[in-house]
Order: sequence, then C-alpha cells, then structure tokens
Amino acid sequence: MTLIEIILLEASFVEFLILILLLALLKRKKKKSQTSESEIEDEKEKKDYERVKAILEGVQSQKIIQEVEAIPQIQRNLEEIDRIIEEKKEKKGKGFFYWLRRKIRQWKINHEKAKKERMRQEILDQRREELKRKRKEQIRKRITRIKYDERKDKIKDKNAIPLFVKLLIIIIPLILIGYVLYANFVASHSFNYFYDIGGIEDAKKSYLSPANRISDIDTNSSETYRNLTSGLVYFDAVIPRGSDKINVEIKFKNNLSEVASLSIGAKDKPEWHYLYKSIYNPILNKLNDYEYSGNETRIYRINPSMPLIQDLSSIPNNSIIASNIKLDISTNNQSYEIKPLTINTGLRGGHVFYIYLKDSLNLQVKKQDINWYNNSDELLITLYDLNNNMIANTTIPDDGIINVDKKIAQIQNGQLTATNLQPGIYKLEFSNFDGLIREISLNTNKIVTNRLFLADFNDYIKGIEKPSSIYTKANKFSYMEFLTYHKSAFQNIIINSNNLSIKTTNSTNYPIIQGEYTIKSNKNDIIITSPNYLSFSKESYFEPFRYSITPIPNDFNKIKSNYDYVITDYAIVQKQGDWIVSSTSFNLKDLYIKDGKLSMLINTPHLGKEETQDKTIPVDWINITIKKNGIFEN
Amino acid sequence: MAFSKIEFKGKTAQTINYLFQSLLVSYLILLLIEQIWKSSVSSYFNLNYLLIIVIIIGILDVFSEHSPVKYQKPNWKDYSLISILGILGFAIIKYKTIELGWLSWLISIIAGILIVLLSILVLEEDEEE
Repeated sequence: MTLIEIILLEASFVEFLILILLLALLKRKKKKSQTSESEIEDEKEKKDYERVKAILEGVQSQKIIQEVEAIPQIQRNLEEIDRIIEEKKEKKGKGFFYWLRRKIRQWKINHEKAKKERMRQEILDQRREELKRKRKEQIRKRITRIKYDERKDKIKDKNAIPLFVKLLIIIIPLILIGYVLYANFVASHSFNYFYDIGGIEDAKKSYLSPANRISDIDTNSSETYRNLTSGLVYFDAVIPRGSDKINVEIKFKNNLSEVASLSIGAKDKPEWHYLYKSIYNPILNKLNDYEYSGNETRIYRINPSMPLIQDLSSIPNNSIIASNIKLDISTNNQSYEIKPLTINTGLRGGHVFYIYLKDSLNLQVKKQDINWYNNSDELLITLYDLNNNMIANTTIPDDGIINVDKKIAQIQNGQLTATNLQPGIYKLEFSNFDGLIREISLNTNKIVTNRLFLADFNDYIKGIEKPSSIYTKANKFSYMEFLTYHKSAFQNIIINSNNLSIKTTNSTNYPIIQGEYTIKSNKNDIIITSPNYLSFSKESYFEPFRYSITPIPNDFNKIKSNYDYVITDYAIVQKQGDWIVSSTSFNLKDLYIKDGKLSMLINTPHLGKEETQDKTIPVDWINITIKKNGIFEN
Repeated sequence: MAFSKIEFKGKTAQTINYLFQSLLVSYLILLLIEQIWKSSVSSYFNLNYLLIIVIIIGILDVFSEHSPVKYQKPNWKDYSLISILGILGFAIIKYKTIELGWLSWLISIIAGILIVLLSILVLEEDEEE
C-alpha cells in the first residue's frame, strides 16, 4: 500500500466516523425539533428535563444517557426515567429489542393519552351542550315567569276597576249609538218646529228671508208678526233623515182681494224649481158650502145630480172634474184603427194633446216664430205616458232672431219619434213659445185636447188667414169658453148653425147641451176652452178617459156651471178673528232636501203687481210638522 | 292652591278615567255621524248635553291620579289601524266635498295622507321617548 493509499484509507475512515457522528447529531437535532414541534413549552416539562439532566449526571452509561435524551419531553417523567434506567441496568446487552419495546410502550402511552384527551373533549362538548340547553330552558322559564307576573300584577292590581263597573261604562255609549240607530231606522217620529214670526228667536235671526221682502217686527195686542211686502219670501225647514211627510200650517191676516191667492212652495229640484200648493184661494174657499168626502184629498160634489163618491175609483163615467192634484186617470179601454193625419190648422203657443198610439209615434212639426217679444223661441215637444213619465222629446231651436222683429220668419221643421210603445193613450205636449205651429203630421188620427188657440190670423203672418173647423161632443150640459186678446179678431163664431158674436177681449161662455158640435172660425186668433174634448175633425175625436179632468178655473161660476166634482187637497181655512190659519202637506220623497234642510217659500203673486203692492200680508207664525214612519209602517 | 290638593286616587281615578274615555269617544262618533248625515242625531237628542257631561268628567279626570303607561312597541296592528283610519278619513271627506269635482279628490287624498303621517309621527314619537 502506498502512502497515498494509506492516507486515502485513513481519510475515508475519518470521513466514515464523521459521517456517523453527523448522523448521530442529526438524529438528536431531529428529535429535539420534534420535541419543540410537539408544542411542549410549559415549565413543568422544562423542569422535568432539568431534573432528568441532573439525574443523568450520576449515570455513567452514555448509552442510557442517549436513550433517555431520545425520549420526547412530553413523556418524560421521573418514574419512567427511573424505570428505564433500571431496565437498562438489568437488561444490559439487549439494546435493540429493549428499544423496540420501549418504543411500543411509548406509542401505547401516546395512544392512551390521545384517547384520554378525546374523551375529555367529548365530555367538555357534552357539558357545553348541556349548559346551552339549560341556559335556553332558563331563559324560557324566565319569560314565562315574566308574563305570569304581569298577569298576576294585573289581577292583583289593587286599583283595577271591577268588571261590572267597566261593563256599565261601556253600555252607556252602546245605548247612545243604539238609540240613534233605532230612532233613525226603526221607530216612527213626529217632529214639530214652531216659527214664531216676530218672537224672540225671530228678532235675533229672522226665519223669513230676504230682508227686503219682509217688514220689521210689528206688534198688535198679543201678536207679534212681520208683513210680507213682496212675492216669494223664503224659509227653511229642518228635515230629519228618513222623514216621509211635511205639514206646513201658517197663520196670516186676510188682506187679500177676492181674486188673490197665497201658496206655499217646496223645492223639488236641485235648480230653482218649487212645487206649489195653495193655502189660500178665495175661490176654493167657497167649496166649504158643498158636500165632500175624504180628508187630506177631498172630493167635493158640485153637481147635485151626481152621487157623492168616496174614492176616485167610484167616479162615474163622463164626469167632468176640476182638480189641482195629480190623479191616476182611468182610461177608456178601447182600441182604435188609426191612420196618418196632417193638421194644417195654425196654433199659437203651448198645447197639450191626448193621442192614441198603437206601437210607435212618428211626428213631424212645422214651426214659425213671430218674434213679437224679445228672447229666443225654442219649441220643446215631449211625449209622456199617463203616469207623466217622459218617453221622448225633441226641441226645434229658435230661428236666430231674439229681438222683436215682425218680419215673416222662416218655417222650421222638427221631428219626434218613439218606438216600442204599448197601445194606449199618451200625452203630447208643446211648450209655450212666441210663434205658431203651422203644421202637425203624425201616424195617428186620434188626437184631442181641452184647449185650442187658433192662429191662422193675418196679424201674425200676413196671408195665412183661413177658416178653421173644430169638432166637439158634449155628454152633458156645460159651457165652452171663447177668448181673444185682439180687437182685430172680433168676429162671429159659428157653432153648428148658431152665431156667437165675439166683441170683447174678455172671455165669452157659450152653453152647450148633450150633443155634437162643429165650431167654425174664419178669422181665428181665438182661444177655445172646454171641459169636453176638442178635435180637428169628427174622425179624430175620441174620449181617452172615463171622465174629464181639467185644472181648477179661477172663476167659481165656471166651476158651478161646468163641473161635477172638484178634487183638491186644499184645506179650507180656519178663521181666528182677523187671522186665518191654513195648512198644506207635501210628500218629502218628491222634494229636494240638501244637508238636512228643505227650502220653502210663500208665494203672494198679487204683491208683484203694481195695483196690489200695498196689500201686504202679516204672518204671525208658521208651524211645521214632520212625520217619519217607522220600519213597521212603511 | 286648593285645587292642587284635590286628587282622586285608586279605583275612583281609574273609573273616572275610563268613563271619560268612553264618553269622549261616544261624543266624537255621534258628532261624526251628525256631520255626515245631517239631523240624524240632533233631531233626537241634543249633543250639547253630552258635551257638557264630557267636559265635567274631563275636568275630574285632570284631578285624578294616572298610573304610568307601559310602553309597547308599535306592531302591525297599530299600522293596520292607522291605514284603515286614513282610508276612512279619505272616504268621509270625499263624500262631503263631492260637489267640488276634481278638487274633492285632491283634498281627500291629502287629508288621508295627513292622517296616516301624523298618526305614524305620534306613534314613533312615543317610541323615541
């Protein structure tokens, strides 16, 4: 072997030793790092290690020292170390298996410890869960307890009102509201409002208005009153909800002339429109001398040869009745064969006809304005049924001339159509206007009226004058009335073969007995009024009703001579010395009530005329009675 | 002052308070009915008599002990009631002003909104206190 080879051999041997040492060192370092990585930093472990070191200082065997030092710190304890040392001492020479056994023991110890740790954690978790559950239970119990306490507090509240007292207190508003509901919807009531005109309340604020139509308060012995100084004086009546009827009683002094009248109006539409009822009519006051039946609506027998009737259904056929109230008219249930008719008799102003229709109306009208007065002249044509329900209407407008202009105006055409009608009697109404109806064409020849204003007169429209012929039939003795407004229309009327001279602008009455009459006028400009029906020909004539009803005339002599009955709701006045007490009633369902108030007025037409302006009417009081029917009376 | 010494306590105070609330609500309901349907109440009895009674009880209530009110947080019932009252107020004002045409819609809607907003304001003001 050369020197180099020896050196190399020795070098390699040294390297081998160094290598082993390095390995041993590495092993130690690894174990140390494991020890540090096993997170044992507590002081107890360190202390144990120090103690181990102290023990090891007395041990001479390096092997034992190494083995002890190889044990992880966590597992080091004095007993184990002692045991290891003893074992080492006893079992010297059995290093590997002893090391192995020791390792196995260590593993077992580790395993046991881990197991203990897991069990400890489980126990801790269980305890935590248990605590949570207990906590929830406690909270729930606490809440229940609080609620229970609150209830207990309420019950045990020393200041609590006894239950029966609470019930009593609650019953009070229930009674009040219940009473209001009962009074409004169930019970019947009668309300009375007394307006003492000139009294203390009236002095504070007058019941009557406007102030320029009434006088200041006057006193005469025991009565205080105000004078009505102009027509249309207003007052209000409070109307409780659900009321049915209103009765107005008024005490006033009779300063009226023989022909003047007084009426009470009640508003029946949202616009200015009043329903009037007479409370003083000197003509109707004379009815006091006649027999009557009924209470609110009275049927006075004027013709002593007619029977005294108790109700409207007993009215004899062909009776002539004057009335100021709406009556259910009984028709003659007859059907007629009809054909078209053209009426070319000129008529002036408003007219009311009764016509017979099968199933429809087809009406053409020719209108010509005469413009004798200012304002526009529309002609409204309306078809009504016998209950006064409007079926159809049309308007022929003004010819465009609204000022006085007596030039011949153009003829205007208008048409009214109605279909799906039941066969029967209908009312055809032409409104009043400043012009002439030149021609009427309709699909029925059954058309009658109680009043005609013949107008084919040259003074209206030059060249239109032509003779007119009217037919009528009387079932009993009666009078026909003829009236003209113009001296230029003075003429001789031929009634059958008799002459009737019209030489006055006052009305002329012509007596007729039972029979048929033809009335001829050459000049026209004459108003013919009759309780019997007037038609344009005998063929057109028919009697629509079992009896004839016309408005009450302003002449009691006419009533006496022409009428069999007077049907009216006019209550005959009562006299109290110089004063008169009169009353009238209205059905509230026909009236317009706003905000619980009804507007009413006292109409004294004579105060609007210059010659009777000074005839003021003293009013002492107004007594208003309102009746409300209960649910069982309706 | 002599008046400051007068104070109703205990059950008497509670009774007076309860009675006052009951009568006041009754009066207001009847007044509302009278406003909507004229003469439906005043024709049968004079509301002024009830008002006098309410005032007297109210004065007695001022001199009564009041127990502290436990605050309760507003819930859906309170808001529902406010909504219903707002709608009711809108309907009543619309009915009374119907003649004004389109203006009545405007007035009613504003009034309804005002009722709702003021009620919420009062309700939540108590919460903040």
